[in-house]
Amino acid sequence: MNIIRLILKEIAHRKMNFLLGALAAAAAVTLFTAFFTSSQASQRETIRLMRDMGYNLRIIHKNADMSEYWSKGYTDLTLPQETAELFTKEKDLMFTHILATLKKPVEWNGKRIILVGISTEVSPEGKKKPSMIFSIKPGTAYAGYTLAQEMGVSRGDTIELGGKPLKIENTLQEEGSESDIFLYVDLSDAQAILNLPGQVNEIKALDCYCQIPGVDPLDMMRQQVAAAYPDVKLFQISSIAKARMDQRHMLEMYFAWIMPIIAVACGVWIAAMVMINARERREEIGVLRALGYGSGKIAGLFLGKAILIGLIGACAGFALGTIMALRIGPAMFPETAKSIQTDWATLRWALILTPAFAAVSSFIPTMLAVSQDPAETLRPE
Amino acid sequence: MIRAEQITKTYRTKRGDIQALSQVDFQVSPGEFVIVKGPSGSGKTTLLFALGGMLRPSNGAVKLDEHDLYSLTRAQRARVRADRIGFVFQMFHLTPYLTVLENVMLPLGASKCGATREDAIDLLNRVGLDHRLDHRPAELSAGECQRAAIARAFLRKPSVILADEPTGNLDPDNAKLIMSHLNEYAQQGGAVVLVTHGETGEEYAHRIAIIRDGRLEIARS
Repeated sequence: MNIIRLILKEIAHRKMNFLLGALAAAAAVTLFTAFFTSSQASQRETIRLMRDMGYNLRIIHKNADMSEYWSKGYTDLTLPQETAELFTKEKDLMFTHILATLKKPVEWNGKRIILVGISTEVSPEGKKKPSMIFSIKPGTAYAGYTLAQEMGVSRGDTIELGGKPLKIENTLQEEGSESDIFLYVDLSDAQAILNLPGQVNEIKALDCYCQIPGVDPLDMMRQQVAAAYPDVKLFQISSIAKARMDQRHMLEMYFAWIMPIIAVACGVWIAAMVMINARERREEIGVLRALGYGSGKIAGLFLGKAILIGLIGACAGFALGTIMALRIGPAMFPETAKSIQTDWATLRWALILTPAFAAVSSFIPTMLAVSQDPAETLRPE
Repeated sequence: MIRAEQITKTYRTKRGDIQALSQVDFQVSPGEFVIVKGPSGSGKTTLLFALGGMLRPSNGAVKLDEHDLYSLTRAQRARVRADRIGFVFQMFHLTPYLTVLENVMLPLGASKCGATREDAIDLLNRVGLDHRLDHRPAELSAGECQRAAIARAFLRKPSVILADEPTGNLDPDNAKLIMSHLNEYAQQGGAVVLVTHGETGEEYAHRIAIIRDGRLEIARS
């Protein structure tokens, strides 16, 4: 009788032990599969959420008075518009989504409003990403919520500012911030209205969360900027940066800790099942020894069973995990639900790693079973 | 052909050392049926396992055809057991998830000795279990279990059969049947060593040894 037949016969005899072992393997694979299958959607959702928090870096003129900047919300000192373009040519730049703006108060129909000219968002080579902000065509404007209410303008109206006609492309939803009194226009229109051709007074950006161990990313970005553009300074809106970092950390910690804990717990579970199985089979092992079975063949009985547990657990776990991800995932990540699909690569890895993991988990109990003294187990009571 | 030379076995326990065998000399030759008698805890089973290459003595040597069993590696010793030694236990130790026939054929997984499925069926016929081939051990009586265990031990035609209280759990009729099978094996040229604490099978024995407190004495030769 060969080893495989013995394994199958023993499994049929002790079904519960096998089922509990397979359940442990399946539980681990189910969770891995569910997480990995929906992880792409989760990542996209996280990126989207983080992006929605807004730009967290500001680049302004080096000599800007920060007290004035914070009290007024802008600086009077300007920079050449090309500065933003030049950033895109820098290698290894640690920020993206670069947006040149010109922001200043203006009078409109006797009311003081904030005019914000924005350019098209740019990113360094190879880091092109969808824009975080709406694009504005020259000759059009987006009115903040309060501004639109107070000035009685709505979509499709045409207003005149600084002698320039602007068509209201849209009125924005209430933000509950100073942006509710902003009038957004194309940068070139703002430059014309403010008579500051080719000038901007603030460049916004988003740090790329490229962490280098032992290096403060803000210091690194400041060095990058200072080395290439001595006329500017960079600072971070730390509340946004911290929220982003916390969100990223949370996701990373989740995968870095939770998954290994699940894997170890399931490994211990399988090992315990093998240990119980080995204890139940002490006499059988003793008899096999007495009949001349070598350690390799006896170990093969246990490791073979563990591998079978792993294979069945991998298949069952993959099926369950995929069903979970496809059923529950879209509710959790509604915006990126389309990216949740059956991931056959996970099955391939599960079929390789789960039996290997089950075999490793059962290695110690197997060795204990193999090394137990047959004379002790076969001795009559 | 199997010989123990001055073997001593000491078990080290938390409550102190236990001397199970003390300078025991013992041998059994082909065709010989030897009974080792002694009360519980006298060292009978220890001697049997030492002879079978399953329990390394603290001192002394066990030789099978002049080869010291315990100078062999574990794997080599397993090979010797597979090819040359058969065990019969008091508790039968049949594998619960295998049928009677599969249990008898189990030794073939350890060594290809030329025995076949037909040989296993023939042996089961001889011990009167031809109607139980596909039954599981749980479905057999104690006597039937021991007869299946005897067939398992005989299948590879080992040089020596080591039987540990083989009739300890059997009624007198079944005990007699088992003893006659063992006796028949010895008559066909096999060596049989049987350890017991009772009087079982003395009529078949060529020699009877008594073991007391790990020391062996010849009672009848």
